[in-house]
Amino acid sequence: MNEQAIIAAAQKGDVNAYNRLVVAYQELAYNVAYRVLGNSDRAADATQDSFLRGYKALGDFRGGSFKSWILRIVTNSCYDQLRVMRRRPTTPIDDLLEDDEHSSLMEDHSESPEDYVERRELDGVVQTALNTLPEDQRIVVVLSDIQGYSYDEIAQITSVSLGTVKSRLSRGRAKMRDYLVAHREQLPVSVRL
Amino acid sequence: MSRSSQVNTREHRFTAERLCAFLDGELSIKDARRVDEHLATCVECQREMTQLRATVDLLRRSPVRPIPRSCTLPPSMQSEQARHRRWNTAYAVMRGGMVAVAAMLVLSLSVDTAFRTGLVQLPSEAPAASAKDYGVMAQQSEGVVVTQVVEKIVEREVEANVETELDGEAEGVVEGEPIAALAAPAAEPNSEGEAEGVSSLAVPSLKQAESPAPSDTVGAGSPQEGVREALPEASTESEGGSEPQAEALALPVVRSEQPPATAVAPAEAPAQPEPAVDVAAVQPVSEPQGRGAAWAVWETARLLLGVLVGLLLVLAAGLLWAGQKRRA
Repeated sequence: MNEQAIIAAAQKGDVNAYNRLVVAYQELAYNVAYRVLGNSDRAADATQDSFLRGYKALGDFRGGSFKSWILRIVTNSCYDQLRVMRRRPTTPIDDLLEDDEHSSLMEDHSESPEDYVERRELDGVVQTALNTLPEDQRIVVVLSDIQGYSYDEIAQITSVSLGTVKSRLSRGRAKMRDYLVAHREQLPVSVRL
Repeated sequence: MSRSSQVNTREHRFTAERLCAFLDGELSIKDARRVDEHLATCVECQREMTQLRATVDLLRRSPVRPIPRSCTLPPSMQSEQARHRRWNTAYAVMRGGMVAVAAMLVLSLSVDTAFRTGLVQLPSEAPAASAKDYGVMAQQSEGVVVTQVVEKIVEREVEANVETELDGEAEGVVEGEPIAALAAPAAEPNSEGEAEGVSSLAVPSLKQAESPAPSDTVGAGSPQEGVREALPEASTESEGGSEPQAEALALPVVRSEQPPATAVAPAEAPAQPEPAVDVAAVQPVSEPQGRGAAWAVWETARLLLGVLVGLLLVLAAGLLWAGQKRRA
């Protein structure tokens, strides 16, 4: 069954069909949310909320790319989460335990311990650098440089003009570059700027 | 500053602003060539370009994190969603209905206002009625209904009297008795009971009696005279106490075609329970001639107004209810 047929079935209320779409896109959605929010629990909440909203709003889906459509919902959920975080700037206890708890999920038994350590270092530095960006620039940098979307797709997902995408990406990348150059010693040797 | 250095600064700024788009291949061919030419000569821009490329490469290599929990929806969501859709539909219908009813209400109000202010005059056989006329028409309709009710009472009393007389003759009753018996009822119209009943029926026409009646709608003679003819006891037998009643009975239109002799009949009516007059049974008042279309439209607009206001309230309540259910 192709994606259009699955979407059509889901639009009729078939929750199993919709779950097939969830399984196909949940990791992508979670990674976008995680890079934007910088917190695994909040990212998981935002992802769950996005797919729930998507199911309820599936009647409004008028064709096109389902991936772009669901990512638009994810970015909106991220904005909501960021608003909540601004209102209640507390550090959940889960954040303190996150690394230990989540490290097992990041384990890949096929890689060497050195590679694993390097990957974790890179992950940490990238996330710290992203957290220094303003929210609008962060979302554009995540969609462009981490997820590899084109300018047009990003404009669709974020509902802004192409010019805005270009300027946000230009400023965001410049800030990322400045941060990574300034903290090059924290980066793995193989990827230092 | 030399011309060549000015050009160089301009090109440097142009390139610096577009390095990002150049890196992504999002520049036009002309701009891309211009940036490429500057990059070949500017060391600073070359360095920036190299760092930007490295940054993008590093970000592309950032690891994918596995999702800590599945986001699949439980099967129970299907029924919940069906319920949600039902309420969504109900909400949409209510909302649409409210908009439609509100529009109709505005339209009816406009029609009503237009007729009241005389902005709209529908073509008719006779000259179109003015706003003032419509006010008079409304009052007249009330007055005519009251007159008809009074006429009906009189007719029934006359019938009852005739029957009583016939019964009395048949049973050989003494001549003086009916007169004595009828004396009390004759005075009764002056008493509070009936007078109040009549005056309460005539209350809407009080204003009409005070204002000059339109000559084109009222029959021969003044309304006061017409009523006095129809109900002589009420107006002549007791001058002091019955004056307000006579005024109250001063109706704009009197359609009594009964001769004066029959009008005296109520005085002879026996003291029996007053037969109930079915007001609803009174024939509907026909609108004045030549105003048919305008009258009908105006009356319909007024009726519609009431119905629409009620409907609007019902829909508003339904909208609130459906909205709450939808959110739940």
